[in-house]
Amino acid sequence: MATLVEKIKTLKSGVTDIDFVTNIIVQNDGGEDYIASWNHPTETQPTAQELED
Amino acid sequence: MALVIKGSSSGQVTVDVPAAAGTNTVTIPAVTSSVNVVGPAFSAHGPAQSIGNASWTKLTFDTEEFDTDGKFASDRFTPTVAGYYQISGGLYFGATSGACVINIYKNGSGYKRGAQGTGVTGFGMETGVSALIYLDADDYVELYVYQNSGGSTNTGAGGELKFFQGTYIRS
Repeated sequence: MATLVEKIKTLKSGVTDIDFVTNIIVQNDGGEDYIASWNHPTETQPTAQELED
Repeated sequence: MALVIKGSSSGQVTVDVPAAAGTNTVTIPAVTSSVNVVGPAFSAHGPAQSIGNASWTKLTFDTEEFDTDGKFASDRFTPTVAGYYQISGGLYFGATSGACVINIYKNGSGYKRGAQGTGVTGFGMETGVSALIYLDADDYVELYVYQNSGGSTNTGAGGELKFFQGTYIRS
């Protein structure tokens, strides 16, 4: 099963690996991964529906 | 033997020292409240933990080496005493590719990142952080880590390979 990071990279072609260190924070507090913050300069944050599909 | 002299908030404290030739006066300079003030300190370490690729993951700590005031619990330091704290941590991975970086989170958000470690064959990778952070009465700090070795990878364990420490410095 794809991870949240992998789903984001598939949905948003403009997102690169380095974005997950700077512009996009995917976080895990002990449960499931989630998007804690999204500040990508060109790509919009995927919706929950897009991430579930 | 300890001698404690308590004075008012201002003024002068003197100690008279007897001497054969007469009386000598030793003058103690004024000090601020930051001197000799005791506050919370802790040191904890944790078990091996699987960290997913490219996800900032909270680190777990199940063993306290010391926790002077009982302010460390559930992987979190909440000192409850406002002041400046030196917070530090270190972490090892066995991964030999990719990179990692540790981050002190304050109140649930990234606050001070540490040095990036890079995976090396025959060694693994390590990251550490130390920062001076002001915490008020209800602030708390935790440690998170990011790694991008390409898949999930385990942290090291124990006081040498996965630790979290903090101490009160001054008000």
